[in-house]
Amino acid sequence: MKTVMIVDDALFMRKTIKKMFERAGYEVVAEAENGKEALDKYMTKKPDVITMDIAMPVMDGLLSLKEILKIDETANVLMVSAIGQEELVGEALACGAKGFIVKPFTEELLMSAVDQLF
Amino acid sequence: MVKKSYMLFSIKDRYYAVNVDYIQEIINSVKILDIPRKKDYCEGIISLRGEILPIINGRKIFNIEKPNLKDDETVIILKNKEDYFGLLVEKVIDVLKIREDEFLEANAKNNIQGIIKSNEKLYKFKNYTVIVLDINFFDKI
Amino acid sequence: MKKEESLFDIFLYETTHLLDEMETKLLEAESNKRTNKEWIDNVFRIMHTIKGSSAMLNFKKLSELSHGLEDVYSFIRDNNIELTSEIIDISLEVVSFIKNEIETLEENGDLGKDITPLKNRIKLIFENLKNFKGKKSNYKVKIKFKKDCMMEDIRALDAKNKLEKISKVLETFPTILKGPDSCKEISEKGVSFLVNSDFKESEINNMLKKILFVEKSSVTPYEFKDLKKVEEEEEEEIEDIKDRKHYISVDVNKLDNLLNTVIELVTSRAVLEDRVLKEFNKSEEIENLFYNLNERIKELQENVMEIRMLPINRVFSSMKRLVRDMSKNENKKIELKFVGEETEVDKNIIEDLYNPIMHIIRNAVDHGIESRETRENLGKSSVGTIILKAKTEGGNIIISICDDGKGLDRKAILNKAIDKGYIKKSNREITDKEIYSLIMKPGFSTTETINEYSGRGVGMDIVYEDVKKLGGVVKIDSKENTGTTIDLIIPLTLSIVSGIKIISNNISYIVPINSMKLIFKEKREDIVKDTNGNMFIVIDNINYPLINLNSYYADSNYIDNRNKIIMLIEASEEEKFAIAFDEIGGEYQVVVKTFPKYLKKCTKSLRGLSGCTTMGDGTISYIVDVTGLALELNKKVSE
Repeated sequence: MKTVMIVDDALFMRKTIKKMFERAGYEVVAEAENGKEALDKYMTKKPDVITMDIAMPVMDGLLSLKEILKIDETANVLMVSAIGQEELVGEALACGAKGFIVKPFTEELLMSAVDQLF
Repeated sequence: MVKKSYMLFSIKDRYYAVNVDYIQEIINSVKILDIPRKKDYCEGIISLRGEILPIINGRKIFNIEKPNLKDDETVIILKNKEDYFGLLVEKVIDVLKIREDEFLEANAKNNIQGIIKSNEKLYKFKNYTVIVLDINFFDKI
Repeated sequence: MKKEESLFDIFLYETTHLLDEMETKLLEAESNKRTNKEWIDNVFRIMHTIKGSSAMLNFKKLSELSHGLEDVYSFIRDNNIELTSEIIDISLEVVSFIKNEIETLEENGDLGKDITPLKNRIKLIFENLKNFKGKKSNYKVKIKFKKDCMMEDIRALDAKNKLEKISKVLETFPTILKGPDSCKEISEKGVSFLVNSDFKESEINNMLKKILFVEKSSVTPYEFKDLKKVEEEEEEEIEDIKDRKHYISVDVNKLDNLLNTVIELVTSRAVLEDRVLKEFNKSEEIENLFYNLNERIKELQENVMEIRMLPINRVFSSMKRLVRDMSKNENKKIELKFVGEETEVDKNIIEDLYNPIMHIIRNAVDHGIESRETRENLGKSSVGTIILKAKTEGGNIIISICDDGKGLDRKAILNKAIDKGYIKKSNREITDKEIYSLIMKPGFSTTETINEYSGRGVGMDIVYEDVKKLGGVVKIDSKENTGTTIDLIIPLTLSIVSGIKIISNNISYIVPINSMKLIFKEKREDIVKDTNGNMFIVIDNINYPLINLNSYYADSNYIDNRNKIIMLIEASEEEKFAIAFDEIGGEYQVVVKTFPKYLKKCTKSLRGLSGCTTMGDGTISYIVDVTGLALELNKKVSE
């Protein structure tokens, strides 16, 4: 079973995304509120997929992405963005994020993106 | 040996037969229309369900006298590959079932009238000698 | 009763169609060099299909041969290699080879000739292709993102960045990849890039497929053009594939029966209408009912007749190959153009048109069109033109073959004709057209060279006979150094003719209404005879040849003294003549049928008749062959 880490500062988003993954048969092994927590938990859990919100306190998604990729450049990081964050998304992709999904999104859209990673 | 079916018909006092495989139908009253420059053995043409076919006068090809046409004469519609035509005869009598070995050969003893080619087949039916026609006969008239 | 169509019949039908399709595509590619991915896929698919089905029927050699070409096209497709004329040539050769052998496949169990030489050549070409080093090529990359994935502008930009790692991106469409407008456009139409890369198509496509939310992607090779134009062209091609016709093979006898039934229906309706309207006095309601019935039956009739009609393009397009091969052989540059190739002709006669048209075109290429140097010296364009034209006119189809070559040698023909005794050195002027039609007499060829295509003087007499069998006529016109035009005028087997019924010797005939010019009662004084016994009539001070139908259709010199009706006929602008007959009837619209084979045996001659028809009252009328009569009169006069 594939493992997932969900990174978002909003509890509601984390819970919603978690439900979507569980329904699709994934195991959610970690949740993080900011980029730093995400980096720490990444090192211990090594999830197969990471959904990374962009705007977060302490360390934002872009920086966290870069750090994670330093550890494992093949990490599957899916950026979660909102309209208006074009620049950051573009940079994230340029750095090596596997792709991005735009809020609000449907379960179907999320899953089709995740499935394409494997 | 298998018996094959032949349609027996007559013109005046002569009897002929043709393999039913080549007979499409028999029609009794038909309006025969003239065509330009017709050969003397051709009576004219008819329209049969949209198809146009010539009618050949049996009397003329078998050289039987009395060329007058009667209204109650019969036409046998024959079809052989692309050849499709009607043969005007006097009476259609019956279907004969003949086996290959029952044919007779044409020779003087068989008491036939008219001119017969040596390879034509004959058959004895009651008192009559029937000339069994090969369908290719009509190719060569 | 016909047997169930065997698997072999279906294979033959399908394979023949596929080969024709392939040949057309190859010739197109040769002339305008358009070979995009669609084209290569098509040719590949054709070879693949033939390989498969021939294997099913155990035609090993055929399967191997098509397999060989399939490999070549597969390789070209995957590696985006430019199509060379060598590949086109060998493909055409393979197509011809198979076409020649295909009919006897069933009897012989496989292709008759040895395929080893062809197979080896294909192999050699294939090896050469493989050794060909990859070079930088231009591609068009097209991506469509999944619906509603949002921020398509960024996605497109991401794709562009990724492409830039393995190629040079030359152009983008839409040009601006930013903002809500471009998002909308990309979401609806996708994004396209023009790139130049030394990576293979498949490698580029694989990279694209890894991008998230890419629903569809394609990488196709192409020549540098405006991206937008290429987009439009691609859309056009998708249209073409959509309305490509689907064919089913139908037993012609079934069609014949269907048509006969419909014709009988037409007749029955006429008789019914006649009777009913006699019983009931003019009733508007009944008239309306019949009007509707008439319209429906007319539609049915037209539809059924249309099923039997095929576009003459079938015959025309096979000439392209012939001209190509011949002109290559003789080192002449010749362009073959078509006009009216969509004109439809009854299935019955389409098969019989191949030979006459082919003969005429062979002559045109061989003897008509001059060599390049000769043409240039004469100030003509170095490329010779042959135009194949088709049009329908008054119940006939007119096929014209027109070349801009050196024309017919009037003097040589005249001399030969006098030599052979076809013409007496009379003091009457012979028109050019009459001289040119002499080449249709047997034994006429003013060139002594024999080559692979022409044999010994490709007989125009054979063409004449072929066309005559179809009930048609041939007209020839020519001008020195300008060219030659040959017209084949053939009656459409199933045409509806409007005509006037006339009666001669109690037989009724129909004269096509558009040939009629004048009708009046005969006056003895106006008729004259010449020394040969030919009759003429004077109308408005002009002399017209007169045919007495009573004698003409009786083939005798039957003359009667009744007061007759004279009709002035115009077969064409220059051919006017008059006919005399007994009575005149009404106007009719009839369906013309050709004379069945056996019927021809029962008459001495069907001259002057172009068919027959069943009239509404059950009688039969004969259609007067106006063009044929005119031609006969022409010949008579020149004798």
